[in-house]
Amino acid sequence: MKRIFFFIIAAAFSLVACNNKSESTVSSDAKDTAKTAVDDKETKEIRNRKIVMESIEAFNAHDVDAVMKEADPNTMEYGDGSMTPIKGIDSVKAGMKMWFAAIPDVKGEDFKVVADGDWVMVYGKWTGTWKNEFMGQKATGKSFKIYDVDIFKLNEDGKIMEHHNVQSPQTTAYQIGMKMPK
Amino acid sequence: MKRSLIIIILPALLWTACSNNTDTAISSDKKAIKDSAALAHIAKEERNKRIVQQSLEAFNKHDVDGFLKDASEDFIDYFDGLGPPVKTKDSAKKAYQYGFDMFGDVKGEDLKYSAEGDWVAVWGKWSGKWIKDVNGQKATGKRYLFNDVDLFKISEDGKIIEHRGTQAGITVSLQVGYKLK
Repeated sequence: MKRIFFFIIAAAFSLVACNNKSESTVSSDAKDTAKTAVDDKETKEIRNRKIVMESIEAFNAHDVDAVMKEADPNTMEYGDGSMTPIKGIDSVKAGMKMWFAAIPDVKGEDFKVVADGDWVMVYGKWTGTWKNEFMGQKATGKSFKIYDVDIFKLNEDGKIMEHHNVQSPQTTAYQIGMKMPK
Repeated sequence: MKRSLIIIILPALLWTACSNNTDTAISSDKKAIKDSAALAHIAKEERNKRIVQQSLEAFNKHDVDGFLKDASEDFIDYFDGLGPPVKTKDSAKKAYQYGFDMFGDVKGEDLKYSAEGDWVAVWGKWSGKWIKDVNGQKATGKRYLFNDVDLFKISEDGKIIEHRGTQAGITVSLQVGYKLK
């Protein structure tokens, strides 16, 4: 009888323990939705950060096609907002090629990256020397050093939809002696 | 005998069921640790955004003390990165007060806050009007207007330890007519 009693109690304890686990599973299920949202956000931000940094590495390699590899065909280039935005990969590529030709050593370094939601911001130091003609202006051989933040907006599929930066082109133009188009 | 067997088997079955649950519980515990770390991470980023937002709200009221309320005593301001940084909170207060006096209505608008880890980035439109003579140059009364991103680094205990602006002082000078040497 004692033995039977022991087993009944053991069984009862096991049941209680299992029931408690079930309840905690239910309450943990309720939290899972929120946690999944957190995981999704983090996963997306890590992906976006990687896409953007690969594009910037390609920029430093002056590989125009690789820079725009993950850009949407209708991607928009807003610059610092002081000029008319440029629409489409081909137009952006054309502008970039001109810049690489004029400033063959242009490069960015010391990056700090903030990826939040659909946006990735990349703060960095940019340098270069004006060595070749640019839009009819003769090169001065002068160098520039600026800090800038490049801002990218990506869609759900990981395509770059927008690019902005904040440093005024006046700053670079002033340093290298380039006349800004009116 | 039959009854004894049932009694023996029943706890064994329940034990097995619970053992499986224990395995699940261990893996779920690991997930819970990962999830809680992720949640803590996001909570920290949201806290950091709030700290910076409150700081910039005080900035827009030209309240230097409020602006640097959560700055650490050894706060460093790199401004546009092209000149020497301003070190310590007290020195930064003087530098910002100088700026508020020079540009009477300086303000930031349409501010968008982003955060990752220790960093908060604030993208927005900044403007001001040069109203006070400086360095022997008369104030022109001209305005500057540009987009900028400000970066703030926040310590674990919620202190602002570093600030970097992006827009170069050259841009402001060219727009307001301050003569550069």
